[in-house]
Formats: sequence, structure tokens, C-alpha cells
Amino acid sequence: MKTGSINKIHDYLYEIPETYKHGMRVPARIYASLQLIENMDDAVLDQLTNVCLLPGIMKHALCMPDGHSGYGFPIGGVAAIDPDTGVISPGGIGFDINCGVRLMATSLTYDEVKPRLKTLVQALFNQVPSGVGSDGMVRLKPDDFDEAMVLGARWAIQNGYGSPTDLDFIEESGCMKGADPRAVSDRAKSRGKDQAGSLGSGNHYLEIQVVKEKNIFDKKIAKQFGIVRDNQIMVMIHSGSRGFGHQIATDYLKRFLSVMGPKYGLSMPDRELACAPFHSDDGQNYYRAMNCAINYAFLNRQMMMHSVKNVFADIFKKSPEDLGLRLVYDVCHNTAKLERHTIDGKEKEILIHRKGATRAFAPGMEGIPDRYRTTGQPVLIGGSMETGSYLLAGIPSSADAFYSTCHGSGRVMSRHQAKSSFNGRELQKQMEQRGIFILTSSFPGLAEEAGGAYKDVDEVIQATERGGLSRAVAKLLPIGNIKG
Amino acid sequence: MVFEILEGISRADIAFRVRGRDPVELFTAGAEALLSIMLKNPETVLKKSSVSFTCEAADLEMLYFDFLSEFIFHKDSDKLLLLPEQLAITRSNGTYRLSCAASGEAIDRSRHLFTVDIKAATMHNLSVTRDDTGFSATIVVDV
Repeated sequence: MKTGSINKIHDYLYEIPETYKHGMRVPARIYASLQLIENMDDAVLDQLTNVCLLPGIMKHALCMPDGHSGYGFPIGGVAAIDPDTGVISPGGIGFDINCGVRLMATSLTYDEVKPRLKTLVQALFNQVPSGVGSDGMVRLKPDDFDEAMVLGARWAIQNGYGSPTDLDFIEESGCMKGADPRAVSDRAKSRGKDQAGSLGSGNHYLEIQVVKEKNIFDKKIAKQFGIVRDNQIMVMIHSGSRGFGHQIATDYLKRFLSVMGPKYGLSMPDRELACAPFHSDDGQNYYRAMNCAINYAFLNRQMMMHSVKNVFADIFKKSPEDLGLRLVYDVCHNTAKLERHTIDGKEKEILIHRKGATRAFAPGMEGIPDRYRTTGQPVLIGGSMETGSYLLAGIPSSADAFYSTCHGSGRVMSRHQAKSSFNGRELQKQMEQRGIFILTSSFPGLAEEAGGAYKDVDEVIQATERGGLSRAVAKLLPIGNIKG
Repeated sequence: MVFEILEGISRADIAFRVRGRDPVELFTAGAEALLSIMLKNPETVLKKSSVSFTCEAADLEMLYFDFLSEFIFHKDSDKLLLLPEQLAITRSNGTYRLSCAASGEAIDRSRHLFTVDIKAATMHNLSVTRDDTGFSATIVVDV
């Protein structure tokens, strides 16, 4: 990205003034090092400053350190909208509504898992549906589906997939209020009916990870998050709302485009920024449908976690409890949520759009589990399958970013470039030689997800910490992975 | 099969362009590109099932968006991989209308080798343009 029009606030925060583009209501800010910004594609600047045109936007539009271009909003984009005067935009949430990350701790160590790693990964690959055309774990009948999209992870637990205590460790307790199946099209329901409890494809994965003592950066918080020993095994799931969420996004993108001008007198420079006043019928219908998709993604990850527990129990011949398998936390990174924030000294309910950005509530804030009240909210950052992921904690200084942080490492290479640069089968062999056993439904898809296609996750996390967005707690290294 | 993957438009997803002498040829090429991007071996899709659908839009861009979205919908909803068999596009009173009879078969993971799953058509850099040689359409698909 060309940086000529960007003003430095400090080494990890840069601002684009309101004068950059006609109609900007607020400035835009990028949390990143200058080097990370230079490596962002040029479209990030245009998309981020377009976000500043949204009616009702408050304070500043933000881009997180892992930002890259998306549709409408950049990936890594955050916008705080006054719900009383402003809009909701599907382009600020993304097609994969509530794409998110779930992390489980175990009491197993690398030495215990290593001899059975291949068996374990193969069993997970067999038991957790992944890839195109795979059936989910359950076929949802219409009445069940309506109930499921209202109850989210709670529905999964009521139907035997997990324990009620899991709900304490899911953002929004796994159930967004305000979900209304009447706002969801039959087409969306049709796409989602067979996919509940499935990983999907693309950059979605289920990963077995190890925490080495040298990679624990804050032992006290790590302990509270369930990391208590060197070489401890963790399990991470990255998935979303599957075709269900995509169809809801498509339906309302089209709807908003057709009504935003004639009905609401709104106009945006990018069709992917189609929007409607939050309190309008259209805005509320999208919000209700989006909450259904958020809940679908919660139940999806809940069901997959249940399968993971069963596989571990089967392989290690112990109960999940005896294996110390427990949910650390589950975060969303594609949502719009009403949250209370203080802006210019006044506390107010604000609609926070986060697209490829994670909520990161600070210690003491409402909405995080009692267990984490003093540590801050766990934040789960899915890195590439080769380089590792991070566990962070929310901190007070991220108030300026509406308690938001990054969500991954962010791509530097297009999928086509990655496929031209890496060979999926070769990559699988090379990773195995480095101690990472990976199974996939698609070798070209594997090549697209090579570590070299992503930014250096360590650099992203350094910018995240130094930008005051979150605190690094531990780095999680991959040892086994299944990809859709 | 003639389609062109476009670099520089999307890092995380896939942009492609097709051409055709007329809208029917253009749209058909778009649907074929969709299948060829998803499958390593699109020629293995047999004509066992058929689906008919119609779309309406104020312009060719939105019609193209809706048309490709239908194939994505049936891929998830009915697990059907489809190609257009018969396609007609008309325009009257400022509205474009499309009717399509598509054929194909249910996904068979033992035969159909997926490269990637296309989950949505997007309006990012969506364009349908006309020049001296015919029509050109560009779209980014979410994968």
C-alpha cells in the first residue's frame, strides 16, 4: 500500500485524515507497523476510507494489523455505528457470518500424543465432516432448524453435543439474542439443513497444537486459560456458518442494494457496502437473520468439539474429563453486535461491525466468563497451518479500538499465486518431516493455505501488542491438522 | 473452457473473467468456469439430474450475479453440480429475464476432485461489459 497519505500517530498506529476522500465522516486508522502497512494491498486504503462514509460511523474506522482487502470492508475492518442514526451493512460482517475460532485444552503432553498422532489425525479426519459435499453430523428438520438457529450452542448441548458448562466459555454464551428464523429465507435454510457439524473448506481447519514453555509469554494468564505445563496439547477449530451464513449475506446484500437508494436515500461507492438504517425494517430483518447465522456457527463448532472429544476418548481410552479436555474459549471474528462503549466520555450502546476482527474485552468487563474476569477475554488468533497460532488476552488500552483486535495472520499471496508457488502433496511431505501431520480433502486447497501465503504471524502479533490491542499469552505450534 | 483468473483483485478469494459473443455464451462460460474452478476434473460430471430456474434483474451484471448464485445454491442445497443445457436471456420494459435448464449430478466425492469450494458470488469488481468482439464478465467468488 502506498503510505503517502497516512499520518503516523505512533510506531504501530497510523491515521488517514477525513480530508483524504470526499464524504468521510471520520478518519481511518490502521493498527500496524509501517512495514505491515506497506505490504497491505492498495485496495485496503480505498475500502477502509469507504467505511468512513457509512452513516452513523463514530470516532474512526479501523483496520487491524492482519488487514488485507476484502469486499466492502477490508478484512480486519472495524466500524462503530450509532444504531440510532446509523446503518448496518452486511459488507462489514462478511459472507461467512460468525466465522470464528474455538480452542480446547487437554492435559495430554506432546510425548503422549506423538506416538499416536497419525492415528489421531486420521480419526479426526474420518469423524469430523470436512470438504465440499460432506454431510454434517445431523440433518436439521424445519422445526429443529428454527429452534437451532435461535438457541445456537445451547441447542447442540440440549441434543447431546456437549455439557451446559461449555456455554460459559463461548462468546455470548453461544447464543445471540434477537435471532428470528422468520427473517431467514428458505434458500438459506435449504443450504444449511445438511451442514450443521461440519468444518467446511478454504482456510477452515481443525488443528492439534502444542504449547512449549518458551512460547508461554504470560504464565499467570496462561494458567488461568488452562495452559499449565510444557508441551501441553491443545486443539483449535476454525469454522463458521457454512452455506447458511453465505446465503443470508447474499440475500440481504441484494435486498439492501434494491432499497438503500429508493427507500432510504442512501448511496455508497461500493455495492458491497450496501446498507440500511439499523432501526428500519430491512436493517432489523438482516440483524435478526445475521444472529441466526451467528448461532448456527456456534452450534457448528460445538458439535465438532463434541466429536473431537469422542475421538480423543477413543484413541487414548480415557474419558474426555480424564484427558482434561475442556473448552478454553470460542470467539467470533465476523459479526455486528450491540455493545456498550464509552465514546467522548459518554457510555452508549453501539453497533460494532467486526469483519476479520475479534472482540477483545478487557479485565473486569461484562460479557466475559467469571473465570477470565481478572485476565481479560481470551482471544484466539488462527495463524497459518505451518507457522502457528496465538492465544491473547484483552487489555484496557484497546478501548480506542472498541475492544477489537486481529483475527489471523492475513494473506500476502493470492490463492492462485500460492498454488503456483507451492505443491500440495510436496507441502504435506515437507510438513510431516517437520513434525506436522496433515490430512486434506483437497491438495490444491492445501497449497493455497501454505505458510508462505500468509504474513509473518509473529510480526502481526508484535504489532497487535505494541499497538495496545491485546496481550500475547502463548504461541501454539501445529503438530496435526485436518483441512477441508 | 476459456476463463481467465485475474490477479490483483482479491487476495483471499478468486476473481475470474469470461468472454462470449452474446450474453448466452457469456453466461454459459461463467457457469462452466465456476465448475472448472471448483473441480480438478469437471469433465467427470454426468448429466443425471436437471434443474430449471429463472432470474430477473435490471442489468446484465446483476443477472450474471443471480445466475451464478443459482449454481452455488444448488451445489449446497441439493449437492448438485450443474451446467446450463438451455439458456435464454431476454430484455423487455427495462428488465432482463433469464430462463435456464441445467443438468448435472450429485456430488460424488469418490469421483469429483474438488480444488476449492465456491461459497458465494460477490459484487466486488463485478462487471459485464461489451466491446467490438462481444461481451466480457468479471466476478470475484468467495471461497
